[in-house]
Amino acid sequence: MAAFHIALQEEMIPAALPRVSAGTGRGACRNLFGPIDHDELRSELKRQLKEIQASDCQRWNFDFESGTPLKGIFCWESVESKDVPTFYSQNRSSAANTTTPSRQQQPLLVSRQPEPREEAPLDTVRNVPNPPCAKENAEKTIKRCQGVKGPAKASAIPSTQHRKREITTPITDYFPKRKKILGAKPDATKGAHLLCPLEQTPRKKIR
Amino acid sequence: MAKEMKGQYEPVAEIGVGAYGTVYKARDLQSGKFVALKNVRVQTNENGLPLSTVREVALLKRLEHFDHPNIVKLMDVCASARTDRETKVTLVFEHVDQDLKTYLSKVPPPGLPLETIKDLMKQFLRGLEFLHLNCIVHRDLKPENILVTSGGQVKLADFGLARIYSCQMALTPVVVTLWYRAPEVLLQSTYATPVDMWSVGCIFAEMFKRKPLFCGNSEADQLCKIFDMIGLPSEEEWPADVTLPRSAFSPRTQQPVEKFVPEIDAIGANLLLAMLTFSPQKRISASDALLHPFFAEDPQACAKQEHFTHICTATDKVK
Repeated sequence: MAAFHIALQEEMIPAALPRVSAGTGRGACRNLFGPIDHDELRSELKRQLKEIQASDCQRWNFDFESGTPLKGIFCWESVESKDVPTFYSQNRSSAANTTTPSRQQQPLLVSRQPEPREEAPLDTVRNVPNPPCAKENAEKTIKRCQGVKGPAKASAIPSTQHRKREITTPITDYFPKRKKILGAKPDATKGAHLLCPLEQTPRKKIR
Repeated sequence: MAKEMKGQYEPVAEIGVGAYGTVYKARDLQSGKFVALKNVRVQTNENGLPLSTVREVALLKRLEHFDHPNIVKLMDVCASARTDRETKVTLVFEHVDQDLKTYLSKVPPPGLPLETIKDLMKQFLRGLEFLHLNCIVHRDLKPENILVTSGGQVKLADFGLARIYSCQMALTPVVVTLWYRAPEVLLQSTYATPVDMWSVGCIFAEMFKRKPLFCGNSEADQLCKIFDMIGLPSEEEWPADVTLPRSAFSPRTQQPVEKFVPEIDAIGANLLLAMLTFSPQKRISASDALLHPFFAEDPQACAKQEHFTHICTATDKVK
């Protein structure tokens, strides 16, 4: 049994290495408390999760897994999302889109996606400028703004381009790739020089 | 959909999981209170839920202990694994009938009484002050995220889950409005809690106007509309770290508030300008806004506004 644990432990080390290089921030993992039976742990966690889910299910008499109401003290009903505040509906802005089509004209897509957090260290990621795109962005905006006093009614960018951006940027931004940018340009963190824990808005990737 | 009540439980048919366009709502038969479910999908990796998500949920749960009257109640967070790469998180919120957008759309001319605006704004600012004291920047304040109960209670919603939503937004085409965005956000500069106060200013004006104050259709257009009212800020005020130069905008001077919000009184205009201040450092905070004379219980203050005098006399009688 002990031999098995040691083997498992050794197996863990090379597995951890690529994670470190990928920059997930996990760093070195030392085995301080002896070997772990990962399978046992996993099944134990699964069992606990099941328990939690069962109690959630019971407390609200609602099956969250399948999304169906059960019998109990809560009298569930399904209502049209237009009959409840937009906040509750799953797709946050879908209702707003139908009522105010003007908002769709030039949407700021997924702008919250790469948006900053309260956690200061993460903010450095966002300070990484994207010079060519940023420049292009500025030029476009200047063009749109100069001489045009009123709203630039016709969108300068076709909506398909927006759609592309919305699908591609968030995912690459959110998961490991963003961290890679941090690793590649560590000097770019100097932008965070302000006194209070300020946040940094994202640089636009494409425009 | 047949809506037959059969005892305690109303059967619901043909609603698929995560079906768009429907929301589950329930009445607690013991307390009589309503709850509503909000589903969010969170991408998971080999280690399960992202730590940031866990942290945000923990923060929201912690806030619940304060039981602030102007914050929407989060009753529970229930997670259920959908696939290996996705987890469905169901948030159980208290249910409020309407948001400020709907509320304002129902107000008949000539608009909300000044006393009502003061009351709504006070509650709104108290909720926001609470979030800011807890280091939460809402970042997306708009009338849709401000719930108003049938009893006139204001409750802020939709904060603190930016990380969870951002995953969600990667999956669904979402349009975000620019109308309530602070200049520093539009300019993609550094930002903090003052961004919310800008949004408060826009919403404050909207309470008088019953329509949005700045309806830009791009970041630059939004900035143009803002400068049309507050004037082009000075070179010193322009943030240094932005790609969009001040010279991109044609010079213009500050216009009287009444030109944009004709319904507002002088004290209200003063507060509005303190909120719609270009420089985030000089912009009024939620705590300071609550101390503004606009909220002072002085009948003289509202007597200036002619068509509200009847309300003032009513309050006088109470005194």
